[in-house]
Amino acid sequence: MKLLLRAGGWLGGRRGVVACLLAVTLIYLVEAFKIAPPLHNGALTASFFPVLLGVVMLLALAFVVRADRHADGDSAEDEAPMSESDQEATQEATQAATAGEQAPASIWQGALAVTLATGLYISLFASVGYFLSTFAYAFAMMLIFGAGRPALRSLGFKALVAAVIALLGYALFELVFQVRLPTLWR
Amino acid sequence: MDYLIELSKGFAVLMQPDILPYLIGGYLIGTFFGAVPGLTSMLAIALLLPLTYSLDITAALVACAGIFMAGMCSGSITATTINIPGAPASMMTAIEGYPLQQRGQGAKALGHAALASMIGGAIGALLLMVMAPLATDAALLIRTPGKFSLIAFALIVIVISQRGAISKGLVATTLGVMVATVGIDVMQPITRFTFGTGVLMQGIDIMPLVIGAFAVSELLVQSQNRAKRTVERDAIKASAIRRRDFIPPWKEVREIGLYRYLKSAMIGYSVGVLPGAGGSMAAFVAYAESMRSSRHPEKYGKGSVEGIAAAEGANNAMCSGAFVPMLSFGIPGDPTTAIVLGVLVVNGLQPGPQFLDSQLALVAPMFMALLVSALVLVPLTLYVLGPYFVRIVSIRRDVLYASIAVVALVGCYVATYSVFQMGLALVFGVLAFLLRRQGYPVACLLLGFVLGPSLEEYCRRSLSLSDGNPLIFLTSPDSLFFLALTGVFYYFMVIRKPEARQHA
Repeated sequence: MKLLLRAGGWLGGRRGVVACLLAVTLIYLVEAFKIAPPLHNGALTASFFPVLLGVVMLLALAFVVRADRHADGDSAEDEAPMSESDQEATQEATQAATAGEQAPASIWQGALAVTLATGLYISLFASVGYFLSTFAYAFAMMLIFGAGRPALRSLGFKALVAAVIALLGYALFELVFQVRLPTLWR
Repeated sequence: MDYLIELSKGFAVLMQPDILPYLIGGYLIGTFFGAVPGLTSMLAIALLLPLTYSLDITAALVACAGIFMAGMCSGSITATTINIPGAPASMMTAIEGYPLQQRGQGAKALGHAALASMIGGAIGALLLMVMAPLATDAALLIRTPGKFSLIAFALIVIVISQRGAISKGLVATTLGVMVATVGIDVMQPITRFTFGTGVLMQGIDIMPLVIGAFAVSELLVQSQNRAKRTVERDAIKASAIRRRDFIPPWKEVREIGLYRYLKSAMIGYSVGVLPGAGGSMAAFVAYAESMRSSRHPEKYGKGSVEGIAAAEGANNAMCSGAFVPMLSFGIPGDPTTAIVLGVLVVNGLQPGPQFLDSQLALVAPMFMALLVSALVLVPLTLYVLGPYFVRIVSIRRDVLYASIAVVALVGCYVATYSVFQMGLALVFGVLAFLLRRQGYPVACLLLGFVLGPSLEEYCRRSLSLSDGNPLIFLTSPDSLFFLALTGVFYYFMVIRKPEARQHA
């Protein structure tokens, strides 16, 4: 678990994200060249655009690394109007920046728990069926998003709410929108 | 004349008992998501996306319009009463509304916000009805190289509007376009980036990307927050407001003036037409212009009702403006309209120059939904729910996020009956979470994904027409126009701005 948290901390850091994107881009470029050479007899092939994208991505990542280095030495705030996504992104980037180059492992506990619970839910959804898997998932999410260590009475309440969420979800999708969900009896 | 008849038919369709509840339901959902800190109307539309497979397309579009409009104005309620903007577009309202709340005039501030939202939203919807056919006619004149340059212009504007994070915007946009290249090639029957698996042959659906980038990543972000409720109970006691105080005094409305309402609406609408700008940009620009032209600029920041009116009028007018490029050119103006575009695409419809002519009967109820939302639902919701609003949005976070998680993931499954799509949503969710933590704008990822296939198709078609000669983009007049426009925008948004700051 500690190893996973450390890995998450590195991945969520500035260099980790750039390294991941760089790895993805290199794999993408290799795969693009495997399709065909970008130009064949003077005509564009299916790999032309992906190769172009790969090159643009490499340049963009180089700009990011350069901008990050500049940002380290420049604390001046940008007071220009920002788009919604940028405001959100800047707010989160500030949090990340204050957390340092490598995010502390404690920040990752919640995110890792959500990722693992969601991954488990997806893997069990078709085989265990909607009701059991959704009840367990909703219960797990309530534990993750609950404040502090839950008391025994509060566990009962969370289980009850998880059951209600599963039932309401079933009513919404299966009864209202006429969508078939996987169940153990079908 | 036929157009007006279709619009009036659209109103009749909207009023039908099987469609109207979707507008009201969408509006209430949008109000809730827009007001709860941490949730956005964009997330509400993302959660609705899987359900549109089972919904009638008109009902789905009407619900989207309701959510979009509600999301813009509902953030002002928590912004004014507890100084926490429910949505980024309400930040300017918090600056002016909260000082009024502290002076016991919060209800009046909310009344001004609702009145401006009504006027701005209604003007925006009317402008959309007038301008959409004109934009469609203009779109018909654009040929293949011009279409490439237009999409390139949209993507470049999306990137350069990410102030302070342009290079990260470029990375996120390029990544979105890269994801869109997975699957069968747009011109030849060749599969790309499938890694030998059959499941990726059809390409990556918009559904897991939207659910992952906006719902799963939000769950991951919120999992770091240890608060028990979305709004703490102490804030509820401090936010008491009375219904009878909602009506803004006529004297103050006259002081704000019709011209300011109109100008803010026009600014908001124009900003909405631009790709990637969004409601907060519209609110900020209108607010700044209002302060510049005000006779009492000293009141700004201390509870100016002019500032509230400008910001709220603009962000609601923006909603309709964002639909113009989406419907006429297939280019979404912001992430929310990109998801609405997804609603159309999953139902087999592709917006573009012919879309409005051929599908006006489907779109007209949505136009009317924007108008009715602005004129009727904005004031009605404030009057009915206003006094209880902070209490309504103060809910347990564990219940809220467990519910969102189930709806998002099961929604992803029901869209295609595929567990693989749920897995993809998780992968995109983790990716978006990592990007968001480092300040990469995730909205760019979605817009790149949506516009990528058209960009590639028109690029390759143009180069095929010219035997691979890229000068076709300079010799084609429409293409040259959009390239020049890109240069103008780049100059004003990137080059000139830093110079101005250096002189300051």
